Amino acid sequence: MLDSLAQLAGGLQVALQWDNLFYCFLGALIGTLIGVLPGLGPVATIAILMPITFHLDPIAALVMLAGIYYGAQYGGSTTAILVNLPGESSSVITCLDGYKMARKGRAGAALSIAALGSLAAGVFATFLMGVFAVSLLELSMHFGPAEYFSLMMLGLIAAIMLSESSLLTGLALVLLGFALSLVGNDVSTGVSRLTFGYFELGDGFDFVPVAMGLYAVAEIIRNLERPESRVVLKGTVGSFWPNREEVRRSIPATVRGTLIGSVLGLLPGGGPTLGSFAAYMFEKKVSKHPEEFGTGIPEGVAAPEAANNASAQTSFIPLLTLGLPANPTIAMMAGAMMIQGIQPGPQVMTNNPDLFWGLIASMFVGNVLLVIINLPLIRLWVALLRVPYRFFYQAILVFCCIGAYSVGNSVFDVYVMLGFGLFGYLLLKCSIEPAPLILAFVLGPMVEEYLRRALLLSQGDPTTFITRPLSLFFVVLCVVAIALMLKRPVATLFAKRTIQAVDG
Amino acid sequence: MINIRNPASAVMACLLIAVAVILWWGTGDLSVGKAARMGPGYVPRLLAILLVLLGIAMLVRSFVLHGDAVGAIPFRALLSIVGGLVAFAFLVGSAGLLVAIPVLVVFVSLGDRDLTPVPIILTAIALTIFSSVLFVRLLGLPLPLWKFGG
Repeated sequence: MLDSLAQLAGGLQVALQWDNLFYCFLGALIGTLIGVLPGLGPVATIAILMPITFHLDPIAALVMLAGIYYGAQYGGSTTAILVNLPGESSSVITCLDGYKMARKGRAGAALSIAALGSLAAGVFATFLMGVFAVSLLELSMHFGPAEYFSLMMLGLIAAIMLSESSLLTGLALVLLGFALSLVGNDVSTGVSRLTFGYFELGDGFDFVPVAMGLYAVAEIIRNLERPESRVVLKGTVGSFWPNREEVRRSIPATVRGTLIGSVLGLLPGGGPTLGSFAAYMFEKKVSKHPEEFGTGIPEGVAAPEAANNASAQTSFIPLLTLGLPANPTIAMMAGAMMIQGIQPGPQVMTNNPDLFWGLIASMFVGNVLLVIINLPLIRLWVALLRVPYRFFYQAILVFCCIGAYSVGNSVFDVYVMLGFGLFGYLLLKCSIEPAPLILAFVLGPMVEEYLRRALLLSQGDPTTFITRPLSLFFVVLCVVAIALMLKRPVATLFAKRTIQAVDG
Repeated sequence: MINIRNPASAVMACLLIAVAVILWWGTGDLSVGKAARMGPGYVPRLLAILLVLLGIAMLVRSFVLHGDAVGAIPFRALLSIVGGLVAFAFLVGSAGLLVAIPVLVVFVSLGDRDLTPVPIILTAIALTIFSSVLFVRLLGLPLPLWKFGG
């Protein structure tokens, strides 16, 4: 443990180098910006910025992209509190109590509670990552192909649970994602599959235009279709200082939110959205006054906001120790690492210790910067919220087109982006969230590879997945998760409650 | 008379079955192998079978379970986005960014009924200058700016 702390201190030196500090700030700033703006999330943003990172040093690139990710968690809460719209999906639940607090004239206090709670959670999660990364890495040494396969299945099932679709729809998305990932040359034999004569498809669909299509283009068509109604809170933000009562109620909620968020971030399929929902539900459960939730109480802001920031950070751990992206944003980070020639996985810590510890330590720095970016500059973000969406979407599309073209210097990826944009719009139209699809698409080649290897080792015997104890553990969790979904669709339940509460 | 009660589910079911057919047909000439030594065709075949099964299940569900209506198709928004991106793809290589960006912006702006010509033109000019300077001059992305004459 002391060793980890020494490493973390070394990482802090890396993170505090001027250029890394600059990119950390830039990432945090962009993250806040897109967090504040509804309709543009971290996945699309990282996809757009991907061509820019080609030219950066790997540490600077990842520090910036990570800053965008957790910065969006801060920015999302601003929109939730002031406009009653989630800037990000992870701040959906913050609308419930955050906006009510703002209506009571406590907007400033709510923003402070969210920002300071996020800071505390961020610092704690960073510390936790530093201390436990090494032990998790040791655990990952016990992973064979069967364990990897079962864990990925668990991750995908968790993603289905989290998306607001039914089990069948979720499974459909996962299978479609797998099917898309098959396109291109087969990893083991090099045979070209499903390319239908297009040499551009030799390496399969590139992740960047696919993500831009599903997350940016589809969202834009959706927004053009329904005129927006955005009502920014009238009147003043009020004092940023929470009163004594608010502080007293926020602190334990922040602590619980941080712990829940940190743990749920580690789960494959987990991340900020899951973290914030779970923290809010738990807070309601342990509260002596559960009936007060939804009326504008500080716990309802502190717990989910602490949780989403903590999970955003700990969700880097499965990527850095196992090479498994837990959610679409982390999958984008994996893509950025591979562009820089770094294979995500256990070897990152040994081969690129500066990158590993520098990235973790940059989150300390980034969180402090974010509080500075968010609280004193709140007027700037409020002003930005008053700018209508129609002044943004052309810019988003221009950046997407240039980004897609730059991936392989060909217009092929622009068409890929368009195709996935239309497909993503079809999904939105059917009220289907694309996260399970994109996760399956990213994991697809690994799933196939580990399935092949596991069955090769067991000479074709599929019981290998349940005879190895660690793999059995994941399989049991999968079965439990499916049983839960069949019994009561958890995610739909969440969704209904949120909608009722937001309407009411 | 059987009615489709869940259009979203029906759309998804058709999509799954279509993808299954493409998978089966597209990998028809690849060797399948056996579980212990899979060929490149093994997983696609397995996936195609699962897709068909799931497609049938969703088709059944679309007749049984009620779902929300899908709603009208916004032709104006769709056409403007498709037109804009296709025009960009077409022009970026043949005419350069200085033509492709304004055409893209004008096209996609037509998707918004409330936009008037003046802000559209201003946005187009601003975005063209901003993107050319940022992406081509500063970041050095290899995109052609102008393909005519000098």
